[in-house]
Amino acid sequence: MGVKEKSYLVPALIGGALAGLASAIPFLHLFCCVWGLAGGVLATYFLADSASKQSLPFKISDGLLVGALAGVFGAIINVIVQIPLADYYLEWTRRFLESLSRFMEEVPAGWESLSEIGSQTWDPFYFLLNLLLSCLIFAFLGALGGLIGYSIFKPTPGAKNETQTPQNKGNSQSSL
Amino acid sequence: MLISGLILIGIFLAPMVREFQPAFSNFLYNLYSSFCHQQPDRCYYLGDQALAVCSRCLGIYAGFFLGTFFYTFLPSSLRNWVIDRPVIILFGAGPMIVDAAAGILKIWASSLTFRLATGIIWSIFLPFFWFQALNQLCQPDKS
Repeated sequence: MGVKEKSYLVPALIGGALAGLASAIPFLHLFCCVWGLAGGVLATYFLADSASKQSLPFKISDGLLVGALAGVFGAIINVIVQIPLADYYLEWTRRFLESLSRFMEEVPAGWESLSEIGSQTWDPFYFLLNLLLSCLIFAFLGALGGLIGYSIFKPTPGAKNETQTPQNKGNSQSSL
Repeated sequence: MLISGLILIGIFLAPMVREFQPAFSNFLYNLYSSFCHQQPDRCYYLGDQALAVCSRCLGIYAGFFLGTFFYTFLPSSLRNWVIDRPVIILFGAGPMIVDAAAGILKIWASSLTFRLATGIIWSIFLPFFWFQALNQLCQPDKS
């Protein structure tokens, strides 16, 4: 009989797709880091659902891991999707600034530089560095989303797949 | 702590090097643009340059960084009290969600300081659960 195992891959891919795509779309990205968090929450939901159906334990570390993995997938998807959308995003930003400037006597400092950001020529070094750092930040946000997801979807007391976290009253500090 | 510290450094580094390394500064602003709207009227300024993220995002990252310090120095009884109540994560997000929703619905426009505070209030508890999860990962699987 096969050993039941939790699979992080599919939940992380689904959460990462949400985080990566929504963060790249102009206007939707105005919701700050919420999409990175939402990707982690969504991934945790699917993992918790899968664990529940297979009667497997679901721990807070599972939420952290699947959220972080969703963040990594989200970063990769985000960077790839932004490539063809770069010019559209720049144009959207310029139109946004133009429409706002019609209602202002004086454009606040810093608004003009918004249109300059992103107008650089493509550089492979910066592309890879951007990908690496995006993976780091998206993974961090996704992991936080995983914690949020655990607080929402954690098994209720008495459920078969509940895992009792050892209560180390002495010192529960991280082993990092 | 390292990750949140690096993120915070980048937020402040972007405006600091704007004059000396504009290409690197643009790179940092571009990097954070995936996680923040970066609207200048919602950002704190370093000199005449906006930080790389808005005040609420700054509060989230700064709160997490501060929370890692509190986790270290708080008594274990208080740490365990928080860890036993993961619903704190949802309650802590309440002010932030209400403020964000009110801003979107044009009910009120909060100040930078208020947005910063709502971000800190939520994220300052997250390290408790972060370290609990890491502790679980480091423990051998007894099943």
